[in-house]
Amino acid sequence: MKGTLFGFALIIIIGIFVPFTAGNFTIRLATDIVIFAILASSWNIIGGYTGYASFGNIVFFGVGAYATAVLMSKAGLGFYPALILSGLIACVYGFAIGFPILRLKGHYFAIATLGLAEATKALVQNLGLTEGNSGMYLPMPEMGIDASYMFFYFNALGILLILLIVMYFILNSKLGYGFVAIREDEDAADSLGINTTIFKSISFGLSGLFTGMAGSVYAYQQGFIKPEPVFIVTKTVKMIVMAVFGGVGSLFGPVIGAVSIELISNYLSEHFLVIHTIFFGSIIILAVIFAPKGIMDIITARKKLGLSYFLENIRKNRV
Amino acid sequence: MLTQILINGILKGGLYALMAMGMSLIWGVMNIINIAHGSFIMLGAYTTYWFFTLYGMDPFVSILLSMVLIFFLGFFIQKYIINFVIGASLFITLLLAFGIEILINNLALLFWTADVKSVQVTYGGANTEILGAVIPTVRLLAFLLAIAVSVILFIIMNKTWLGRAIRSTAQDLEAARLNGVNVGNIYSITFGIGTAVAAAAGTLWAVIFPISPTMGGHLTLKSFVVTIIGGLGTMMGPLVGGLSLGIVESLGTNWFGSTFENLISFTILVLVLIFKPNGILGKKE
Amino acid sequence: MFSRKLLLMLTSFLLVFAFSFSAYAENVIKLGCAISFTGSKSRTGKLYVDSYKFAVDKVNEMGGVNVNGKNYKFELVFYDDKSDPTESARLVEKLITVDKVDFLLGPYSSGITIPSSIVARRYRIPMIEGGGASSKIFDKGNKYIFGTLPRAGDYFRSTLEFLTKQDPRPEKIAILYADDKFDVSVGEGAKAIAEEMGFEVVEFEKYSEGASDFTSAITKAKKAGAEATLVAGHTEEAINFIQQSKELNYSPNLLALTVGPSEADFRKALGKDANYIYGVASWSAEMNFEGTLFEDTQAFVKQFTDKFGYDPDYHNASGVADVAIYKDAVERANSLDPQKVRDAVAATSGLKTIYGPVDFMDNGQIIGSSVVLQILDGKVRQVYPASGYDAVYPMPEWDKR
Repeated sequence: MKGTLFGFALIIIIGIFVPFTAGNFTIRLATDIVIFAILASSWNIIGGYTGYASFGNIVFFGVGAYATAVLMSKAGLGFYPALILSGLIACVYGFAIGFPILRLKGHYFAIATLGLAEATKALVQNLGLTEGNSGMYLPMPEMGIDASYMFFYFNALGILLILLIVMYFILNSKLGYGFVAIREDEDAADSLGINTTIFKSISFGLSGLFTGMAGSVYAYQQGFIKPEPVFIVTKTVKMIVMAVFGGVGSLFGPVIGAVSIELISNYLSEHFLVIHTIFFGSIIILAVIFAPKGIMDIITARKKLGLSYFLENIRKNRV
Repeated sequence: MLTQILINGILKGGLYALMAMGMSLIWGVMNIINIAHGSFIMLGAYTTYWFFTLYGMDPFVSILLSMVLIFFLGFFIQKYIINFVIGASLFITLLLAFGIEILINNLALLFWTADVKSVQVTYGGANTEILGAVIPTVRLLAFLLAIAVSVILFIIMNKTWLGRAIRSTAQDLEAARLNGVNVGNIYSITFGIGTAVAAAAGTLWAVIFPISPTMGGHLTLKSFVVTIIGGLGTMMGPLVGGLSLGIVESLGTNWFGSTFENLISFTILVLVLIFKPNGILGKKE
Repeated sequence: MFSRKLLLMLTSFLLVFAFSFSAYAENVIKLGCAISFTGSKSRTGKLYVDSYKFAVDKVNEMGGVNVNGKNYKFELVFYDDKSDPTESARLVEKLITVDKVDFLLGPYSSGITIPSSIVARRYRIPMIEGGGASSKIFDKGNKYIFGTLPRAGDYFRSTLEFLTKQDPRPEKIAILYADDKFDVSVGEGAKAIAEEMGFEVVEFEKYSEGASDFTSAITKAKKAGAEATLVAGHTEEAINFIQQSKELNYSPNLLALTVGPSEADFRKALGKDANYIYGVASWSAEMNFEGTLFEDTQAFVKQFTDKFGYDPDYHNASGVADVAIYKDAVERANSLDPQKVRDAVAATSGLKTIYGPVDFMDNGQIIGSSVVLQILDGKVRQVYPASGYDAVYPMPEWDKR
């Protein structure tokens, strides 16, 4: 409890502090980081708490981004109505699609979500409403440059905070216990009278809601979107990497993961024009082998930290 | 025209089958989804390219060398990297494979540049005409070779000591260990075989299509689809899955248009998972 | 006596040093460019990086840019956009706000150019780009973006004109195009022009960007009896298309591709099968234009090949022109003010470059045309409008080469 309050305070203080001390580029970088924090935290709902490794969460991002583009440039809606509707559309999509595919377990579920994301991308590439693979413009925000960057940043930060607060309350409710029960033992949860089908779908829908809203802010900031970048598989992987790197199944883990991964990756590409990707690949491999429980675990287990902490993971997981 | 479309589909399907075979084997035995699968296909394609360009070796000869080389690469990657997380949760292994993919692809990009390369065999465009349909020689050869590799793999898995050890490890790790199987080695060998078959697919790919370091990602996705359609746990799965996908894609793009290829294959993937999660040939749980 | 001489030498040396140092430190015009060093666009991205560097070195060698009687050197600031439009937009932001570049050079490909041009517009910094020709870049009233590739819709006009002059004149045409914005514009433009010229378009088909299988499309074109096939796509697709045409024994009178024939990769990958393939480009190494940075096109081609070891194609020439336009515009504006330089770029009139004379339309795109190329004996030759090489039409069958 004390730790959670401390976490919220830290995010709010740093979050509000950043834009007033930095130039527009830093604000934009911070916006991108916050968007990734939303993605990783949303993935954490279905992947971390409910235990279903979604490998296609990017589909909600793409749906949210395209919903906003269509609603704003075709239906002439303002940003906020579009943002909320986009979130809801992604949420309903996740909830509905959850019924058939959440019956699948493990790798099968992972591949099903991946296939769903690719199929949705291919659909968007062939639809007239979304202008096919050509991409869509969004209206330009009618405000000054500096104001617009503050606008995007604080909207993203707001969504992240709402997500974290909502998750905090859910985790302390019957719904949250249900999620965790499903992760630990689905059959047992079922026999305890939890309607696992509904619970899993709600979890997937919530994940979709916030991911969709992140996609919406992204699209408006970007001003132009194409199917490939907003539905790209590697972004799904990136959000999982962030969640794992920070700590799966903990409230702030994914946020920490998003901040550290993005800062590392930004630093590397700034200093190594071409070989930064090789460093990045190596970091993922090392992190996964030596610290599969993430930074949060290292923080909470700091008393027994040492070489043995890192070797223990290897000892436990090898054959 | 329909005959031609079907032939195009069947020939492509053979290649799909070979691509997916390695993935299906690794998945079935080790319960790992090898996201880096496409990178091994890419490496197979490049070794073929270099054997051909530097030493003038025919791809249908150098395919064995490529397979041996990539076998050892896969063997050691499993032994010294993947083995450390083999018991961890599934997204950990997925992520590790992803890290390996980034590493391999970008090293390839660094050493071989992003230039498009191709293997120009003298019989490249040769073809025969049967019943008004054209059959490209290279594709036919690749198709036959894909079938041959599947048959050899089938024999290894069913008739040899190694195959029995691999299958018993897949079924029950502890029982296999008690029976004196060195499980660690079996895993490394399985991974090696899986990547070697991927390399074979890469060789055939290089004969038919131009290659580049980033070619793998798309092929990994196609391999997923084939593996799922065919179903895990049988050597015939990838063959059935590959041929079905090849034919359906060929007919589908003919009817709906070329941009529908991905929509068709991924919709099939999702539908098969929902209605028949163990694949066309898969056993009931 | 001796020491005085030494002192004099030393002071003059120091003075020169100080002068040159200050010249280096202050009189610099920064050109910022976020472009693909890694990822799927990195191959063509490199062509632009090479050309930008080559042209900037040349400008500096020639004494730099003259503004208000002072000489400025160009300095390039590069970032890797990883072939990702999100990265690109963010990095352009960085170039403007952190590196404080004066002007921007564009990335490669239309999909990446659009988001970064939006950032340039927000900050009112001009961006000249040589790597995106989609009308979507230019039809949104962005006054800060200038492009040196000609209108996508007109790409195949010269090829179709060429076809009308053949005897017998072909009637049936197939058009295949990738589904990215640029190629959609090319394909739709080609269809309109072809119908206007009285051709019958028997196959008009879109395929996915990055597709590797063209067997269905080729089978259809063959069935429909298309005498000429026009393909708008990318290098790998172009190679695939030619290989598969040969495998399926499809040999029309003319096979023309937008991207591919002018690139060295394409010819290397296809070997002798590349012969007689038609291409289309805004520029060819056979042309001869006087330039301001280089004496003429031929001098440029030679120097470029000596330095980089490959033949420049229209991407390279377009990139060199971008830098030449900046030099000219900054000197005419006689200022580094972005607004004044933008206006000067827009007013560019008949600027002589090795890429051809440069004039911009009101929307910022260059007024240009395309030429028909054909690969003859492994070399790319301009065959229409005539430049001394005769086109081989119809193309010989695959097994008669």
